[in-house]
Amino acid sequence: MSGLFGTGEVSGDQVALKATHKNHFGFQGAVKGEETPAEEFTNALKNALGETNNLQQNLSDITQAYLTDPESVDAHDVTIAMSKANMSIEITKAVVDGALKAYNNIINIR
Amino acid sequence: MGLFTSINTAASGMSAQRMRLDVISDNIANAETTRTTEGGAFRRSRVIFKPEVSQPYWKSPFLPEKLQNRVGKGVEVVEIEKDMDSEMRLVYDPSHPDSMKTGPKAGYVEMPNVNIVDEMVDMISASRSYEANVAVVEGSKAMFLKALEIGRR
Repeated sequence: MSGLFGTGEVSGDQVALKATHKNHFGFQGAVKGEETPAEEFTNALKNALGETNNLQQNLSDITQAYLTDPESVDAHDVTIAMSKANMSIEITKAVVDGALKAYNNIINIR
Repeated sequence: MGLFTSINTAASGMSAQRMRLDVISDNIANAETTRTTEGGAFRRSRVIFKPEVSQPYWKSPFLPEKLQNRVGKGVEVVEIEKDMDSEMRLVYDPSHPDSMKTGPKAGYVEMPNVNIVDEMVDMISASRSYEANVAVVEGSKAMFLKALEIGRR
């Protein structure tokens, strides 16, 4: 019976169930010896860029909708889409700056 | 948890307050309406809000911690219901086409149960709530920009 429960995580009358299968909720790959390699930086960057691009396109759609049919969109939807796009482009810029800085640091090794 | 969670939550609050303002404006516009399709005078509408949760709204001691409810996802409008509780306003005006012709209340017109003062107070409350949600968006954005400053020279 005790095999059902995970180690630790007992609070009051609540005991966390053990998540051993990947279909279990909250499974975090706890089985030892099966370490999955971390996601490649290139893929992560590509995904993030895709997300940023989606937000930009969403902003352009919403702005277009607001200009052609103002009844269909709230004003705050437009401004919120604007700040979301702005925030995602800021973080993209930060990541690209960091990568460039790393590259420059390496290339300046003499 | 995500970058935009609090912004989305605040956006739902803003949409809800917009909806509330729509309903208030409908009430004020119809403050003198004595004839409706369902018969009788206009009745004021009310907005009912409900929290939007990320997971089903129950709690069980047998569930793993991960399945318990965590931060909600904002507010949503459940329904816009008619206020059937408060009394209709009676105004004596025998020349009005909708005045009662017979009975003990002959000559009286049934006016909507809209109280303009209450509606104005509700309107102020709606705009202030909207402002509060805008402040949340600003705060979330400021936090994010501060986080970007980490490690920047």
